[in-house]
Amino acid sequence: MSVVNHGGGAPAGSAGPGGQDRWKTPFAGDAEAPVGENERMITGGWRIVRPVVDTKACTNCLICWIYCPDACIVRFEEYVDVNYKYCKGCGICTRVCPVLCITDVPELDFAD
Amino acid sequence: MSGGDRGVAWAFPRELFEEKGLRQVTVWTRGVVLIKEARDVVTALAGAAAREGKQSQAWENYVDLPDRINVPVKAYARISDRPIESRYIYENEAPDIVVVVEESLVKGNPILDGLRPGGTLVVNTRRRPEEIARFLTPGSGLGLLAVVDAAGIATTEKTLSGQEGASDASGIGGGWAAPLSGAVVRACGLVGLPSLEAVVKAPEAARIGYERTILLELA
Repeated sequence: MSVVNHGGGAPAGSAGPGGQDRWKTPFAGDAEAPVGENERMITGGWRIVRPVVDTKACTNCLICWIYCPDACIVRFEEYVDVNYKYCKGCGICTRVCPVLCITDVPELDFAD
Repeated sequence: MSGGDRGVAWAFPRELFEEKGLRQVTVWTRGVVLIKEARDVVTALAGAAAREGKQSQAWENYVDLPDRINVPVKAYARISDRPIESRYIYENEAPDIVVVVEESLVKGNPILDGLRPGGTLVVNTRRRPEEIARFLTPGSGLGLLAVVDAAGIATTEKTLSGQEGASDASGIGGGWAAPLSGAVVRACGLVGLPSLEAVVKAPEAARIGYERTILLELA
């Protein structure tokens, strides 16, 4: 794993007191977060309403992606979508979307 | 299993829940926000049955507690003309009547598991029963589907009063539970409407629920 130096002072790789390892302190902002799905805790069934993204209207501002408490917003090149396997339908993304491209639709309006 | 085999005086019925005259009600709801309604449905039905001199029990599924917001949870009632022998079995494994407090629970939840053949399903929804039937597992033995717009008749009561066995200061059946219990009475005549009206906080809502229930015969 590559680690970027955030310590200030001497640049990474320079021989300071304690040798080079001194600058290899991991920083959470740079470390890749593990991505996984828990097959034993599928929470899509908790949903009463389903957030539906109008992908044409989406500006990809990622505010919903920041706010989603369960990391259910999936990022694509030009828009976002929702991981319905785990989305609990809390409605936060619908509220925070600045261009109102997410709509809460009753779950029984969908056959799947 | 019977106690006689073990040389003790008491006996379980040979088949659990095969007790004559015993009827089991399972109510599905969503945690925290709607659990009061499920608790009130079973409490109201059991209370109404007790008024008619029947034996009854009402309780929540302990395994589901403590509940979390929107999580599917269950509440149970048992009503019988005779003393209930399976009283220490904590879940209704073979319900006669299933009540769904919130419509989207019919999707993706095993609400009809163990249902007795010809059983009854009561759903709180504004939709037509045919629309609800599309989401139900085929071959479940469901005999009658009843829908009632309880949410259109009453407003939900959100309170923690009465949670986990505490005394309930908010009263029984002031919200959706009254019209839903009325729909149960209409669908399968578990108890009489007058005795239900006598135990709920909103008897008028119970009667309106009874009247506005739409029934669909299946199978």
